[in-house]
Formats: sequence, C-alpha cells, structure tokens
Amino acid sequence: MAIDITSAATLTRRRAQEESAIIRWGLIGLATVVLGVLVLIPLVNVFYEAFARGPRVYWDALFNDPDTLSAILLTLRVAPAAVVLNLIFGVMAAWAIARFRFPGRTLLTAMIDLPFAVSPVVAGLIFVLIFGLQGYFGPWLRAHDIKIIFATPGLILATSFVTFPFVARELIPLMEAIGPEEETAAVSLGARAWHLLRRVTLPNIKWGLLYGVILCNARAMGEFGAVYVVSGHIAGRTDTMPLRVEKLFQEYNTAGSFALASLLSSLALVTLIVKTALEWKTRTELRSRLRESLLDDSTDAEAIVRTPHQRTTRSSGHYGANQPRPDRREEKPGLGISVKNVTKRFGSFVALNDVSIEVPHGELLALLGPSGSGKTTLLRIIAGLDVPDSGSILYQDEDATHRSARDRNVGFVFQHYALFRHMSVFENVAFGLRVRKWKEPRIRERVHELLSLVQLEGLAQQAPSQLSGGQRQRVALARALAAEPKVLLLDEPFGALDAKVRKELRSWLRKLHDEIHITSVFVTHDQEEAFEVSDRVVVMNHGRIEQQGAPEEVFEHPANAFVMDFLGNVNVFHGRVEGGRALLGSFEMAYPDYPHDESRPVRAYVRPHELEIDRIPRGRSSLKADVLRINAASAAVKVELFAKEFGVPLNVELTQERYSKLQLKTGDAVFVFPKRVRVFVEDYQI
Amino acid sequence: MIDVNRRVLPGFRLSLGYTLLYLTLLVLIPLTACFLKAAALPLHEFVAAVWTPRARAAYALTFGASFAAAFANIFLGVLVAWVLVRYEFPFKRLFDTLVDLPIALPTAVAGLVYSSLYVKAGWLGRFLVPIGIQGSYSRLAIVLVLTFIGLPFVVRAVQPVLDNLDAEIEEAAACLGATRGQTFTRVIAPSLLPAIVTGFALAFARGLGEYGSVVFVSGNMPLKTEIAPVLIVAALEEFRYREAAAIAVVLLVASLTMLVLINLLERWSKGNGN
Repeated sequence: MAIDITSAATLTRRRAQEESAIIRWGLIGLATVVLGVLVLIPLVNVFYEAFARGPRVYWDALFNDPDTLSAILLTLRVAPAAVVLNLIFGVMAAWAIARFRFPGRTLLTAMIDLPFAVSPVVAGLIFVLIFGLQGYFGPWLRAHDIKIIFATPGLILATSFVTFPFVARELIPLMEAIGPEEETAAVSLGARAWHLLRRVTLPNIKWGLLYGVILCNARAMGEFGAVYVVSGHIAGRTDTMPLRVEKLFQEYNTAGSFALASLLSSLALVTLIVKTALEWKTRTELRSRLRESLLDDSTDAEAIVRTPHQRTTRSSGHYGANQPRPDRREEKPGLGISVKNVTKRFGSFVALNDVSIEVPHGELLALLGPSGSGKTTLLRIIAGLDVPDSGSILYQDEDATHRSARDRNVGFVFQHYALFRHMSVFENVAFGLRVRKWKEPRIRERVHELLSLVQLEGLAQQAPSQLSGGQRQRVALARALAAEPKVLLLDEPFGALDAKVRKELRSWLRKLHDEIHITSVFVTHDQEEAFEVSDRVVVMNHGRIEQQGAPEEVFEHPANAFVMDFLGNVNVFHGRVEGGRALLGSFEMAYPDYPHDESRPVRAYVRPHELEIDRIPRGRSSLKADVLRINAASAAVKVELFAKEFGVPLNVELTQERYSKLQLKTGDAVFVFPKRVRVFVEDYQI
Repeated sequence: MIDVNRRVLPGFRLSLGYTLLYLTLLVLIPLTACFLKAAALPLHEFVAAVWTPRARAAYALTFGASFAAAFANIFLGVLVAWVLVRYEFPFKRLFDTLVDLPIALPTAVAGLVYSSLYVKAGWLGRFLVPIGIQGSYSRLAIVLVLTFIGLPFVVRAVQPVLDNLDAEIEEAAACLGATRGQTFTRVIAPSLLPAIVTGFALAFARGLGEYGSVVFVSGNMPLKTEIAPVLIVAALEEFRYREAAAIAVVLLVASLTMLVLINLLERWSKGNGN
C-alpha cells in the first residue's frame, strides 16, 4: 500500500459533527468484530495450532523434517533473487515514469499493474508454455540440458512476474510527490548520473524503497499459484514454503503445516510492523515540513540588518583574500552572455518568440514580466535546463547552445530553493565541489568562505529544514556560487518570502553583486524589485521583449502602453488623437507624433505624482473631480478622487506641504490637471 | 510542459529501455505465447475446451463468489474505514495495522487457517456448524476467504477520501437541518462513491485471480466448489496444454478488461474528487 501522504495534514483535525456515544461505540464495536473474525482470530489461530503441541513438536516439524527444511532453504534462494530483479526494475521504471514525459507513458504505467489482475495460475502457465517440455523453447532447452520449469530458474521467473509491481508502485507516486527540483539543481551544479542517483535520489526515496522491497519480499516468499504451476511439486527439490504447507495439509500433518504457516505469518507481521514504522516516520517528517513552511520569515530580516556587510565599503573590483573572485580571464570587458534569436514552443504555445539579449560582463540584469511572459523559460534556456527550438546562446562569445547544464558552469538559484533536504547546509554548499572532485581541505575552505559571504557561518551543520525561508535562500545562493560559476542565474529568488524579508534580501543581493561582480540574470514579476536591484531591466510579454534599458529609463520613458500598464500605479484616460492633437474629454494637448487627420483611439497615462490639484480651474486642461478619500499617513499624501466625466476614480499624490496649503476635505469639489501625460495610440490588446 | 526534463536529467534512454526490455521478456513474450498456443486450437475445439458444463460452473462460481465477497466488503470496508478515520479508541494503531494483514499474509496460510477455523471442531465452526452454517469445503467458504483477501482494498481506497472530506459540508448539512443519517446518505455517501467503486473493483479483480487460499478451503469438487484456475491446473496435470492455454485466455481477457475498467474508474473518481 502506498504511504498515505494526504492524511498527515488532517491527522489531528477533530470533527465538529459527531454521532452520539452509543452509535459511536456501536460502530467501533462492530468494526472490531469484523476485523476480529476476519483477521485477528485467524492470525491467532495459526500460532495457537503451531504451538499447541509444545515447542519440541514445533521444532521437529520445522527443522527435523528434511523436506520442510529444504523448502525453507529454497524459498530463501528464490525470493531474494526475485526481489533483486524487481528492485532494479522498480528503480529504472520509476525514474523513467516519474521524471520524464513520453508517448505511451500511461500505457506503461497501467502495464505495471498487470500482475494484480492476472491470476497467478495463469502467470505460472505462461512460463510452462514457453519453457516447458511441450513449450516453444522446451526442445532446445532439453537438448542443451538446461532446466527451467520444475527447477529453481522457473520458480524465480514465476515469482518475479507476480511481484514485479511492488517496488515500482511504491516509488512512482513518491518520486512524483518529491518532484524533480533537487535533481535539476544537482545537474545545474555539475552532478553526473551516478552522483545524482547515489547522493540525491536514493537518499530521498530510501524509506519508500525499503518498504517496496519488504512488501515485494513478503509476496515473493508467500507466492503460491504461479509457483505451484511451474514447480512440479517435487518434494525436497522444488517445493517452496507455501507449497510445502499445502503438501503437509494434504497429508493431514496439522503440526507440520501450521508450524511452517506460523513462520510465514511471522514474516507477514514483520512486514506490517516495518510498514507502520515507516509510515509513522514519513508522517513525522511531513509534519515537520509543514511546520517549517509556517515558520515566520521575518525573524531573520533582523539578522541581515544588524550585520551589514563589512566589506561593502571597499572599492568594488578589489577582492580580499577570503572572497570568491571571478575568473581572471573574465575580467576583460565584453559580453558575459548573449542570447540570439531564441524561439521556444511548448506544443502550440509560443513561450519565446525570436528573443535576443546581450548581457555585458559583470552586469546584473532583471527579466521582468507577468507570468506566462516567457521570462523563466528564457532563464532556463540560458542555464541549459531547457533547449531552444531555434537560436543560440553564447557565453563569452563561445556557442554554448548544445552544451549541457553541467558543462556551462552556471550557478542557478531556484525559486523554491531546491536544497537537498537530507544534507546539512555545509554539504549542500559543498555538493558542486564534491562532484568536481575538489580536495577535502579546499572544499572546507571554500564552503566556509561562502558561508561567511552569506552570513550563515554558524549554521553549517544545520539541516535545511531548521532554517527560515530567507536563510534557505542564502544557502541556495552560496551553493550556486561555490564552484565559481561564470554566470549566476536566479529564478524569482525572493518570490517565496514574505514582504519584509524580501526587501532586506534585495538590497543585500545588490551589495553582494557590487562585491563579486558576477554576470547575473534574475527573473521577477515585481517591478519594484527589478528597478531596485538591477543595472538593466528587460521587460517581457507574450514571449517577446517589450523594452530594455536602465531602470530610470524604463520608468521615465516606457516604450509602449503595455510597459506603462505593467509598471502599474497609474491613472488611465481613454480618448482620441487627430491632426497632431490628443483629446481626452476636457483635457486637450499637442501630440505631434500623430499628424494624420484620421481619428484614432488612444490611452493616456498619468502617474499619481504627475497630477496636480487646485481649487480653481486652470485653462483648458482641467478636470472637475470630487474628493473621495484622503490618506495623509505617509510621506506623500494619497488622495482618491472621482471624475464624473470619465466615470473613473483618480489617484493623486501630493506633498504634505501642498496638502496643508489646499486644506482638502472629503467631499470637496476640486480641479485636477496633469503635469505630464504619456499618450499611446491603441495598438495592443491586454 | 512537454519533455522539459528529458534533456536535463540523465538516464532517460537507459531507464526506459531497461523497463521495456524487462517487461517484454517477463510479460509480453510469455503472454503472447499463451495466446498463440490457444490460437493453435481450431475454433470448435477452443469452444469445446472453454465451454464445458464443468468450465461454465467454474466461471459462474469464480465470478459469483468474487462478486459476493467484494459486495460484502463494500459494507465491511466502509465501516472499518469510517471508524478508523472518525473515532479515537484504544489500540487504534494496531487496528489500522491489522487491516493490511491480508496483503502481507501468504495466501496458502490464509487458506490453511480458514479451512481449520470453520470445520466442526474449529474455533468458529463449533458454533456455526450446529446451526447449519458450513464455513468450510463449501461455496460459503470461498466467499469467506475472498472477503478476507479483499478487505484492505476497499478500506484503503475509502480511507484517504473520507479523511480529506471537507468537514464544512457536513456542518452545512447539519445547519440546514439534516440529521446525521440524512447527512450520511445524502452528503457523505455520494462523495465516497467513486472510492467505493474503485475499492470494489480492486477487491473483485483480486478475487477473480485468487488461487492459493481457495484451493485449501473449497474442497475443489467439480461443478460445485471448483474455481476456474483449478481447471487450468487440472488440464496441465493431464498435459492438455492447449486446453489449459484456452481457459487461461478466457481468464486473461476477463482480467485485462477488469484492469482497463479499474484504470477508467480511477480516472473518473479522480476527476470527481476535485
């Protein structure tokens, strides 16, 4: 049975609606009777019958009957062989099915369930039909004196058939629940297949794997129907334990059959105990993970504020002995990364449409855009975690399009950290160095260097689950930087953190970049974050670049209505342009960009601080409005007005000075006029 | 996102290739051989082999007993799942663990102990046989042991669904004036239905193929207590391989249909669950 993950969260929830005590205890009693009669009494009966004649008879029945003894030994040979075969199969099948998408995947998954539906007798028969004397290979096998049916190989085949789903069925849902993030992170840190399996995947799935193996073993030892058909029932040679139970039963040897049955029942009990223990373990782990995610992130904001980075006062470009430094070769000016005409489709969805970007060496670039704009896809393509349909990626003018993530030497910081949960902070940071076979003393030196850089020196031996969100993000950053990557890529690095920690980490990242000057690209949907942190911003929408430039440039001169809209916090007016003038209700202004006579719809954008309020009208571009709400509890006074002419609310920001001069009150009728208007002819649809 | 990971994570060809090879050698080739062997029989001989009165009686018993057991398990399974999810009581952990015993216990052991419990001198037979209930070497015996085998399938299908059932819908029903009984039949039972159907189908499929436990308890009397897999073994012991393959094909087609049905049901209940 699959370990039930969903029930962990609801385990302690009490129901408000409950039956009366009589019904409740009645139902409990009834259920106890059902389970007692069906399960418990039979179980007790096995052991009672086995020991009823005393321990001496029990011992003789098991170990002084040569046929029984040989059955036990045969089972101990057959079951482990089948388990090993199915263990390898289970891991392989789970890796293919849980980690990749391919045609026929559903069919393959259904095929793994086949033995659950096929009668074991049929399973035995199909092997007899192939390898038996009258089977397809029978004569050939006989000629070469190879015995499969009525011999151990046949028993192993039949047992393997019946038990092959067990390991795979445990692992597939488990691996799907864990997700591929940690493995993707390991690949981006340079891990090869063997490292990945041994150091990341296996430690994560070990309990599920153990349970799958134990269940597989229990079924392999207990298999009856399939083995019955292929064994030929040769006492002392091809009888396994369950077959021997049947033979003793037919011979009315109650003591013998029950003694052997008690041995098999003990095996079942051990299986159940291990299952219960593993489930309990999984649940506690899940619970602690739930608790972690509820941890208040604000606790570590303080730590960062208190310890501003001491080295930030040094001139940038000068590196202390303990600091990571970029490769000297890279210090020549030039391009860090260039993306040339990249297009990427997912089915019919165009994620990137002929995108080109150049990132100068040492620059910190922000990819800004709404979700679905293609920014994360672009970042993954730069990292080598995705492959473009066309176009190329250059690292320092070398074509890297077909280099794997491992060979590109990039540092990638994942949105949800993707820390290896079974490794300490130290081991997480050391991972990229170990897979590159660094020497132990160098690893230790480098990891401590990085932990001091991200201000987490004291936490080297902690598990990731003991850290707060902000601390985890810094570990992820240290891990990405450890192997001295040429570029650093960050996917929504602060997306999973709360507002306060996000702000602190932002300015901290900026300072860090000023120090280590590594070519960096980070993805965000938060314009404030992009403007505050980056040297240059690329605004994306629908797989295309809308605008790129320095933060001030993009903010002051948005290239089009989309960028203006996306940057947000702006008043929108709808109007028309014709003959070089823009007409927005009672506003009217020159618009030389459109000298044509044909009238076209436009949108005009005015930011709140670009609107002025007065009590008297000023010329032709004043708008009548009523004051709805005033919020004076910040540096800029926020006034919300309603303009009847446009039927829309307006937001205006005034200085405290201007506000006290006007003596505004809610309900006042005033005039609003713009200091600056940006007009875009409507050529795009949201 | 289609095959995003294929290029990034290593081992796709190796793992898929190994999986397909293993399944081909262990499953596809042997199953094909079975169909080929049965196809070697001319049609009228095939029909003669799979449609004798003895075979028909065996099919009827296999389906009937599996259905009866799976049907009984709907009620027993939901009861056990309900008690496990909703109530706290002593030894609940042990109770929960015991539910899985039928999955871990070798079927031969189940057959052995069930055959001894319900005979005249057995722990339960001594009360039941005098009042005319023959729980051993009878059709009832087959239903009893298949009920044991199928119980965990229904419990484990219903349990998580019941556990995740939103408490608010019951509270809403109560606020609207429904009694506990009405809430159960009109609100809870319909939500559990997909899981119950899945559990039923799993228990039924398991019953169809069961062999080990049944041969112990049934007595294997032709036309009376003989199930279909026993026919295959009987044909094999008389070296009538093609007849054995023919009956196996009938059982295979039945069980493959069940497999497809279960998969469809699981999809349907997942769709309904959300």
